[in-house]
Amino acid sequence: MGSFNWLWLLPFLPLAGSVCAATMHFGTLRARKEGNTGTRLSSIAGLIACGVMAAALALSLYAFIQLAGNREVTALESSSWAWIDAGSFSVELSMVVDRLSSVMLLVITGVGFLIHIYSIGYMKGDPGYAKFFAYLNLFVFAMLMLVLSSSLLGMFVGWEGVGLCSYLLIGFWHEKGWPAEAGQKAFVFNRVGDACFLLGSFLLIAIFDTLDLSDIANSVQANIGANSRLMALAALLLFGGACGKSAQFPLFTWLPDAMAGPTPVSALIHAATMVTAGVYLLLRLNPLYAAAPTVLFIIGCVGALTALIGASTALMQRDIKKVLAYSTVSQLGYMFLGIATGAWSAALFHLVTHAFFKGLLFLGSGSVIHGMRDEQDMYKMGGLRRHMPRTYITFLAGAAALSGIPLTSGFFSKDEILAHTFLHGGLYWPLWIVGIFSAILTAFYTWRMVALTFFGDERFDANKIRPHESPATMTLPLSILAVLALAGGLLNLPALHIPGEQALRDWISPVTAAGDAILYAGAQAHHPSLWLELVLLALGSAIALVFAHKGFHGFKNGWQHDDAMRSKRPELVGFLEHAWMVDSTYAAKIVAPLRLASYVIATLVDQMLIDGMVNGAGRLAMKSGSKLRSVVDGSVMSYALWMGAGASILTVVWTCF
Amino acid sequence: MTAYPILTAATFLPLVGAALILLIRSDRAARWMALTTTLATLALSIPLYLGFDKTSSALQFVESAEWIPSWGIAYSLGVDGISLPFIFLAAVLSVLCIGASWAAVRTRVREFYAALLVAETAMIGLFAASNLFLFYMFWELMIVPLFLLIGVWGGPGRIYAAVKFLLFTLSGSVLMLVGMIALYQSLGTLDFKALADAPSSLSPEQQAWLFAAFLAAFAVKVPMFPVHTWLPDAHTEAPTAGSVILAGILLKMGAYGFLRVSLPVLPDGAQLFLKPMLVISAVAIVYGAYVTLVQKDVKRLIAFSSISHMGFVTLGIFTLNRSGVEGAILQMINHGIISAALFLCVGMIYERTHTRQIQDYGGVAKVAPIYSTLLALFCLAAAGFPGLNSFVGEFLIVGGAFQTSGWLGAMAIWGVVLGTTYLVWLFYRMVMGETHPGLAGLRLELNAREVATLAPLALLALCLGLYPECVLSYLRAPVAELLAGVPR
Repeated sequence: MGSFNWLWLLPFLPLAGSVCAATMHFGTLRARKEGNTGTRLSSIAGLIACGVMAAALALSLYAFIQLAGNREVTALESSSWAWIDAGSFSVELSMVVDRLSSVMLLVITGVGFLIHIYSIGYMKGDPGYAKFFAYLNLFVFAMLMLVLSSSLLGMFVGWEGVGLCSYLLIGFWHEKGWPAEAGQKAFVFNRVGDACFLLGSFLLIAIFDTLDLSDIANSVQANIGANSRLMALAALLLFGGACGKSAQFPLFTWLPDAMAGPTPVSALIHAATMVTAGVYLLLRLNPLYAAAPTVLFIIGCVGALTALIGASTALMQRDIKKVLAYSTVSQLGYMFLGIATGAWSAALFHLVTHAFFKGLLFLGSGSVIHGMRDEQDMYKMGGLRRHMPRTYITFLAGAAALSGIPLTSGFFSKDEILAHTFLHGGLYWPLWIVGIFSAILTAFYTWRMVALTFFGDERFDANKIRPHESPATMTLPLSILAVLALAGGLLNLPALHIPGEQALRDWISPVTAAGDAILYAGAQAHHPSLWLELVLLALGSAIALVFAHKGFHGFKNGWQHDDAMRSKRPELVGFLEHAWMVDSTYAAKIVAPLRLASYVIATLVDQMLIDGMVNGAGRLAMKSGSKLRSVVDGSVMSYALWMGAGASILTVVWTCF
Repeated sequence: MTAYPILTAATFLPLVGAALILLIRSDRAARWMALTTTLATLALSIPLYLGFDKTSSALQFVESAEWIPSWGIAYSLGVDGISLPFIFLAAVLSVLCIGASWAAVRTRVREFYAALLVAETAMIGLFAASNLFLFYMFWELMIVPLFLLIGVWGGPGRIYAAVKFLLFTLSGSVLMLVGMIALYQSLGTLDFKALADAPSSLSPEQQAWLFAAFLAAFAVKVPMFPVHTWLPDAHTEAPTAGSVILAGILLKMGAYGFLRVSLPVLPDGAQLFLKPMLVISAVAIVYGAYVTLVQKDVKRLIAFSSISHMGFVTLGIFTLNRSGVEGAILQMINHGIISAALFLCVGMIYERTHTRQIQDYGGVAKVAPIYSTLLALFCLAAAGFPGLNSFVGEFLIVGGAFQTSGWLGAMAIWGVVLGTTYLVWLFYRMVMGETHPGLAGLRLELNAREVATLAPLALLALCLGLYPECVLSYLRAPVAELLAGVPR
């Protein structure tokens, strides 16, 4: 332990890249002031950022190989750095790669690298090109800090850092107005979650006297009984933090708004990596959650509800990115449902496959938007498969995986979560039904989106917009992700009682062993029997195929279906279009009272009451002063008189006490 | 320890500079004279940090001379780990104040810089004083230049603000004077160390009364809720340099008083007041944040945020545990850096736009990227963003508060959330979005002098955030000794 100091390079290479790109950005600004374009500096910034990502990917692979090559070693750790040391708080930071974080590392640097390449094409010609890469690299730095930190507080540094980068990137085109507002909303929502995170952390300090993640995970078992309730509370509070970052009910409404950012940002931050940080947090602390079944059930309810809200809202969206955003909310809900059933590896599995297929879908939608000259309204698209064949084919792969078409990655990962929910039984039954229902909706809205975008008549003015295929820098990452989205299921095939193990589950078993030990307390974990598993897989396939077919056929000739719904059930459609009215409830029930309270305190209490008393005292003094003026008449005699009187009064007071 | 009386030199060099400035005729020369003096003072103070023994809680660089022998009052200076960082902060901020006023002050230039230098003497002297009498002298001396800075070089409402400031602080310090006399009467000394070593001769009841007397002075300076209303007016009307000194140092004097006088000399009194102090502090955090949310004037907004942030400081001090107190002292330094930086930022843009109303701004990022980047950094620091300085202080304070009561910690965290909200909102309204038409044609971007003025504070914010040890290491020994003397 402590000898793997090169691990520090992982976060700090992207940071260095970010600083370089930022310098280039200010350089281009200066060049532009002098009349040059500054494009050369900008493109160097892009190359540096991509190069740094390639290096980070290589390091991640190296770390993975180190772990895979020697199964005895469960974690690589760098030497630590004493950050804070005061009183009973001492926080030491080191970088740790264990089995769980190695998977996250590969996703972040792998998908991140592809998205960096894609951005070279997507952001070409943007005046803030270098700035974009500076932010993107900064994000990767923060995300790697989040994943690699040995301490919860170090994780919090990354946690806040990704939030900041998300804010900066959502508001990247802040001159337009609404992106800035969306960024602000994301920041504040995240901060509400972060407050829960901090409260939970302080509670953990109180229980375990440390914030070291592996120490906490290892000492949960010993604290069951004496500290069960406190641990459950801490687990719940940390889940509150996860709700903010991972857009779970009721803190999910910032994510759809976050689509105001450039599309590569949506793919990287708001689909593949940052929003899964909450899932990672819970996985990291799995023993804590295993010890709190009630909290797990709450997580399950929140996850299932979020899955349903997201999927049902995605049904009625016109904006292609909004469909994907609500879909992301919904899929994150599935991950939390997986955690709630104690299916740690299933949650991680879905996290990974989701990073592939949702990253792909976002990048695909970006390619469409790019080709359509910034048009995002699907009602104004149609028939694009002829114009953008590569985007079309790869998008189909992503859609297949998202809707759970058999044998694609999403099919296996979603099915595993639902199977575990089914097996858990009892109170989890209703959650399973909600999960199945959301899967139906998912298949429907996914293929509605495909149909509206790529099929049917061209509903745009072909004279003004000439859709074109995107450059290779964009289509190459799409192709790679498409392969991953289709074949990603190989990572963790269902057991099915045939030889061939669940690779991912076995891979992270050292990390989840403590949680499993508490969860099953000696008993065997639930394993589906062969026929049950086959039935569930068949059910999943049937749902996906039937409703994908329905969604596709309903919309392959245009959006008339939506109009029919609108005229038939206007309230329901309005309810769905506005994401179950959660935002307007916030405005009415939280924002308005908060503003009112602020105004009341600021004007009534502070200005009128407190400062009023101050000014009143001042006026009183002035008045009494003018009365007293007759006393202060300038004659020495009267001063002497008053002095004498005062002195005698003081003497009397002095002697009495 | 050193060849020359280094503390005396650092304290009175600015006063000498002030006297020289008044002798000079030209404004230009006065500026350079002031800059040279503050830089020299900063340079003079460097041996203090280099030669300081962090492992000792005793006063160091002690100087002592007889002053008023008949009353047993000596002229005695000395620093420990608590006061040393403040001397550094005062010396740095004084330099930056000169930088910030370089072009902004056009009237009575010589007098302005003289007043600034007198204020520097008062600031450094206060933190170097090792007896209560000298402490009181510098405490009162501080009021004079600040009163002038606000009243002469301030904005339109300067007279009201200056008088309000004067009356508030004077009525507080009168009670301190009474307390000081009473202490001298019963203990026969005013030396901090001697006072702290002999508290047992005061009954708890006497201590409580004395605590209340000192509280009046200290609470006004912090300022604690509800005696805070002088602060927004003073800040809003003061010239930039005045705001910087107010926020950077003057507010810290009260909290420093608690650490130097109230806790060590009157531990039983402090014991009695503990709960109310904790509650008032937590209220100040949340109350200040709510009021800040709706401010329309940038300077007022930052002023109110100071009330909230100083609530963290007093909360930490009265948790009476190591992380709370060390966090509070660290946070005093942090707040000195950040609020000074924010006032500098506001002042710099005010010089160009002549408006402090938030609604008159918008889209500054597009025309002034460097300015916006620095402002973003300081806003983040103020919001307690990890990696920047405030986070560490607030974390330790809230951690200390949790050891006292979970509710206090929860209130403080709620204050952090509100703090983020008003800062992000401020940034959104001023910097993001479409550029406000009223700003068209103005050259908002910072010049080299202004960047140089802000850069040290940005570096300090980053440095203390990543390596808080550079302050915490000074605090360990003296805080341990301080807390050993206070029953819990």
